[in-house]
Amino acid sequence: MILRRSALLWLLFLVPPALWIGAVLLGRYPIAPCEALGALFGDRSVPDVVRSLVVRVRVPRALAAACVGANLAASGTVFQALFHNPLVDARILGVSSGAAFGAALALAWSAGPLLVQWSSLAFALLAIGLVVLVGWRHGASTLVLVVAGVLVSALFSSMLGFVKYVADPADALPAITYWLLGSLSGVRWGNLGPLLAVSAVSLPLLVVGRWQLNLLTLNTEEARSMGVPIRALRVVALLLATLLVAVSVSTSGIVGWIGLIVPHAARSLVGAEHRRMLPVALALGASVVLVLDTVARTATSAELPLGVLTGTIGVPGFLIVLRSVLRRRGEAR
Amino acid sequence: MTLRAVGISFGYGSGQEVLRGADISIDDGQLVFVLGANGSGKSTLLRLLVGIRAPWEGAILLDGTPSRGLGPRERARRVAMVPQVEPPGIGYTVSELVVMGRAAHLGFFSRPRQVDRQIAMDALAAVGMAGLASRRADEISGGERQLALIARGLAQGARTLLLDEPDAHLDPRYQDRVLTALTGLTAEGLSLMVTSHHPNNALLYSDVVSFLIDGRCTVTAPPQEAMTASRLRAAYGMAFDVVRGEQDAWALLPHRGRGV
Repeated sequence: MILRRSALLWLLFLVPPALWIGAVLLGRYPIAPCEALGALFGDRSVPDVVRSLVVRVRVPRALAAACVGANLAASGTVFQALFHNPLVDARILGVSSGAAFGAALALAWSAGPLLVQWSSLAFALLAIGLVVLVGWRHGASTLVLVVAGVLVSALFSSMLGFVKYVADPADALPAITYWLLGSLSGVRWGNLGPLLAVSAVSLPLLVVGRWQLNLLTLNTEEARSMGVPIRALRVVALLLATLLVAVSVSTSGIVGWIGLIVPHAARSLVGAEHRRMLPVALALGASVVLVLDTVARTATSAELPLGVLTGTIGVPGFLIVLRSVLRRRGEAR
Repeated sequence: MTLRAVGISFGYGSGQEVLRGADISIDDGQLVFVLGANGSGKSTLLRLLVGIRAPWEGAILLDGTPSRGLGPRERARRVAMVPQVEPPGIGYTVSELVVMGRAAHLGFFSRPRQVDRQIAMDALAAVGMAGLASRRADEISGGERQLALIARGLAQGARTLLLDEPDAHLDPRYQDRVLTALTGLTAEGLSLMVTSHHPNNALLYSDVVSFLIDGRCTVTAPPQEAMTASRLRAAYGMAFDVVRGEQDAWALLPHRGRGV
């Protein structure tokens, strides 16, 4: 617990807004910082092309990056509490597989970006609906939820494989591949709605009720004996977390590792208690994706897939996490 | 407060009954030991008493009124269960773990206030754990973790605590520390029920001993009377010598090689 002092902690919450402004100022198309700021604050003297680029492209994209990062971090936090396991994220319940299948299906039919997004969202929700349906009937125990999640995930992965197999290799297949790598390059105000709406509702709910996330880590009988309505708590947390993932993935494609690594980083900074840890995880998640997405669109002349960047940074991060977990359990030096 | 089970029967699924018309009661200031073989239904009895399982027949009475009538939160404020120590998952500190006991007093969107934290600290002090409040719960010893879980039950506000084998997996010193802490609580008027596989601990620390045999609580008497060789044989299916030392200090010696 490095950040015991709350002054440092408060400074941490200034990082995402600062990075957000930085993300708006930076880009392949050279715009002077004062001009970009002028466009941001509605200065009439800024050329139209600059204003359009800043307001219509960079601002929504930076907003999406911050939301996706915060959402993935929040959902990872919830899933790790729910499954009493620091090594899980949203993929464990098949949400990502559902979203991927939905997007691939729409892309294979050469649908427009908006339809791809909604199809992805719909199948992500269908996936989690199936998991909850099976889980609820069997008492919403974490074991049943995991088993149901693995099955649903396998189902959608197989169907995704089939869609890729029959997709037109000239245009549909590359589009599917690119979507699966994850990117925010297609984000405009027009397709930002679901992400902003769900984030604006679910994140505050999680933040307000975050102490209850601690209770998710109790086992079923323990929780019930303590008067905790554990089944309802699990399902509410599960729905909020999966909604956050579903809108994120349907907007950005598969951006892995954030949900796994960021909660861990937050825990090592302020400890496991969710009242302190969740806000830190949100700030870190938003910051990381803001930075990586800015790198993705500025590092090379072609856009780098965001999911590739999170993966290359995520895997070494995962090794550090794994090491610290094993060390806690005394299984590694 | 008196917690009483009257003629309760229960089994899992459609299987055989584990409890067959068991009666038992815990009164104010009593430390009740429940002994019995593996699978005799000790943990099941605790689950029924705390109300997370409903008996097939019979009733659980809290001061004479059926506990089914109380909601889960109300029940949790009166009766707490202290689970066996498990390998810890996520690393909370001891005080963060204990304050979770306040859940039954808090709303869905509220969180522990200063008063709740104070109650948690008092509970830790009551079991001699105040000094470890800010340590990580997965970095203290098993015995200390057991004491922390007892403190969580106290923080719940319950005056009746049901403990599932609190003396399991502990060295003799920590068994003594935990069980002495429990006798300290009964001195303050709390009612405690402890399941155990250590008949000698029942002899040393309990006010009342009950053997769970064939789904019934067969004996509920002071330990010096309850502990006879024939009852131990009935409970465990093996022979014990009952040794009387000076004054009342008895000991129970299992016969080697008779556990077949």
